[in-house]
Amino acid sequence: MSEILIVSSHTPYSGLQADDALDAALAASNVGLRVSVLFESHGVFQLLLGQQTDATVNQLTEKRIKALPMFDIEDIYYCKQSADQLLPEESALSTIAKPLVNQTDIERLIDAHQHVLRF
Amino acid sequence: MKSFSLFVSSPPTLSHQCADALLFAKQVIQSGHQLRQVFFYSEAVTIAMTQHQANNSTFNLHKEWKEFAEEQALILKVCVTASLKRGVLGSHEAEYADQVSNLSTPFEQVGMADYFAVLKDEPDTISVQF
Repeated sequence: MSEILIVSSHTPYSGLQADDALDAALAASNVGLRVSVLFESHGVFQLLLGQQTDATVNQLTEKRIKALPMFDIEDIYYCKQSADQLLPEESALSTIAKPLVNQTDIERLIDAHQHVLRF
Repeated sequence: MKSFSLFVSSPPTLSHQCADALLFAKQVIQSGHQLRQVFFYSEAVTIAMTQHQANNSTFNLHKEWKEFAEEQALILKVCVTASLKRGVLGSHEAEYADQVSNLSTPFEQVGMADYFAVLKDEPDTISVQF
């Protein structure tokens, strides 16, 4: 059983929540918990490729997500329904996250984890 | 007896979740269970600031958490990374930044690994998020 699921549902640069979720995932992995990450709702915006930095952005979320496997976080998913509803057509998404097609898939993912934290 | 770890991340002034967490914590104790840890993260870290004041007719959540923790000899863990991002400074960080600490005991800044280490080492503890 994977031990903790981090659910991230905020856009990358509208506040600190997206960073808080990634920080939590890294901290949990650092102590040896097996970590999975799910991007759902507006969180799917974090997976868009081609994010650009400016003076108001400290770290690119795209790069942080790309680095997750270096911290032993490889079970990364996104809600395809959210992506279909919210993202522009032809959006290029990071392939690091696997799509979960329907609500049942998401429920199964949640059930498979002992702990869940939502951001 | 069950063991509970509370993860409080909701903003104290924009939702009732911080107050619900306190009620839950009290109920855990009253029901004879173990309150293993309380950890404040994200916007919830601002509850630790000493400047929280309320007039006499207003529920003072900061004070209520303090009194509860002191009664139970409980440390209220506050994520150091999340709190520094939001201007909450413990004495060590304040000294380093040449500022004044605004963190009130028994709130105490710790690394986030503190919370997860308990989940790792004590698999039976139930993590509840507010």
